[in-house]
Amino acid sequence: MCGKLISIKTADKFGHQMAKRSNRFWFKLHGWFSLPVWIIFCFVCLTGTISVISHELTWLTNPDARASNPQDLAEKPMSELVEIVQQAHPTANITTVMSFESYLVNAVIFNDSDMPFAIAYVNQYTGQIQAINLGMTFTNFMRSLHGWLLFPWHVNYSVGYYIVCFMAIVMLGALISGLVIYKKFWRSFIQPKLRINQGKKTLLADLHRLAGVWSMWFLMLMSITGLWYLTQAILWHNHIDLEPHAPLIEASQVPTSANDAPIRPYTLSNALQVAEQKFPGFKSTYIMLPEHQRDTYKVYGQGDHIFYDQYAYGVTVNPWSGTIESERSPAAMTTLQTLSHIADPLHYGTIGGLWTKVIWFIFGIFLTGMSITGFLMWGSRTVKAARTDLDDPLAMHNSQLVEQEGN
Amino acid sequence: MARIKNTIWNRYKYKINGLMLVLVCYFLYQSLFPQFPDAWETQAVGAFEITPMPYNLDPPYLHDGTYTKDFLLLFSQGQVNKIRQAYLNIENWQGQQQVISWKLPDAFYQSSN
Repeated sequence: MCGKLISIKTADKFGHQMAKRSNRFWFKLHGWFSLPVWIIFCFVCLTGTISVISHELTWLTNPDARASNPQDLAEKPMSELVEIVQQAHPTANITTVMSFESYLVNAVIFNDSDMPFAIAYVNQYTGQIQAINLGMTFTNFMRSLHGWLLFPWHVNYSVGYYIVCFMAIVMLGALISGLVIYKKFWRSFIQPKLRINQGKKTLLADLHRLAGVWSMWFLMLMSITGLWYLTQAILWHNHIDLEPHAPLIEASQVPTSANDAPIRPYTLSNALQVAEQKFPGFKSTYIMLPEHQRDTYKVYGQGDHIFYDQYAYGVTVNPWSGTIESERSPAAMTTLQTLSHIADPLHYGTIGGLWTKVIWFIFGIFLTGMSITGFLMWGSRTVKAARTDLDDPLAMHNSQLVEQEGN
Repeated sequence: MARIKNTIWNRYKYKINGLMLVLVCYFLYQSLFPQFPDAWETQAVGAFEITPMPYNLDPPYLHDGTYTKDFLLLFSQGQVNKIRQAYLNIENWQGQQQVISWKLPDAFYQSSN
């Protein structure tokens, strides 16, 4: 009987020690995932958070980018916006038109003899050209900074893009190890604890845990979409195209002419009509005009699928015959193509418009803050404690061990 | 529990990764002030006068199953829309074709070795 009690106690002690060791291992793992790259991680989170609301910041700070519509006019088709810019800049070579949120102007991209790259900000309701931008936009800058840290692209890969994608692994590892360490983490949902009067260490720990638990869904979403971007980067790097390139028109289909260059019988307006007939409810968001005589009109847009991005539908139209050369729609997509078109709305928070952007922005701040609180927690528990030990010989004599979380 | 010594390494080891942000500034500078190789000589082909400039001195890259090299072509004479199709040879709308070639600069050979 006595021997049995002793053996139970020994087993209990052994189990306790094992649990302690396991906890220590997970705690170290949590630190290994986050601490060595915490500044880059913080930077990526911060730039991503700003990128989420980059269109809204543009609207706030740049009056020329606002698509005011006081007379409640109907939106003009992109083909009309192209004509407006062509009339204002007769020698311009217009290449692309993009639309964004309804409160932002459309961007008509062109080059001209005196402008190697220009973006005309055209109000899609009034048809007014509100500005000509000759450089980079705030949105593009923030997204490039967030997406690949401005590292150069070597045609099909960028080291910066890989570094940012690698953060998805860091985030997932920190999330899983964090949840293992934080026993009964669900209490943060039902009994959230934020002790602001019990010292800096306690406050940091409470903030870190609270933000971590409440951001669990967001961390998971960013990790999964980030892992998809990593997969996509590897595919690009290995010349595996997710979507086939738009076909080139056969040279025989391009007519010859005794005089000047023949005018393309099918216009951009016709190409837009083709897309609208093909996909009911189609709204064009991105169009490219033919770069050369064997090129097509590329018309992409959004439809009624809430989970797909704004380029999920599209056609390429032959300007000489008016026929559809290729098409794209969610119904005809492969698994990888589907993933590539649903990842962005989930990652950017555009899935439900302005409201989801606000939610993504708030949780983006939480994530940025967690990388800072995490580092500060490490600093206050280890380095500062070690400094105190050196300053206080008695403390050093008593213990060189610095207590850490969970022990 | 963890033993930790108050060394410079222990104090700064988790801040080293921040140095990567210096590269971000460098790449921003690079993108604001891009540098391109020298343009090749100007040549006339038919009604056109063209000055090609390679974007870089790297070997061609694979794009959609084809090895591709990007050039900027400056047309000092002739309108681009007068070209029906061109592959460093030009066909006008009357079906006449002219071929043109440039001697590759030595830098190309050096970079591919």
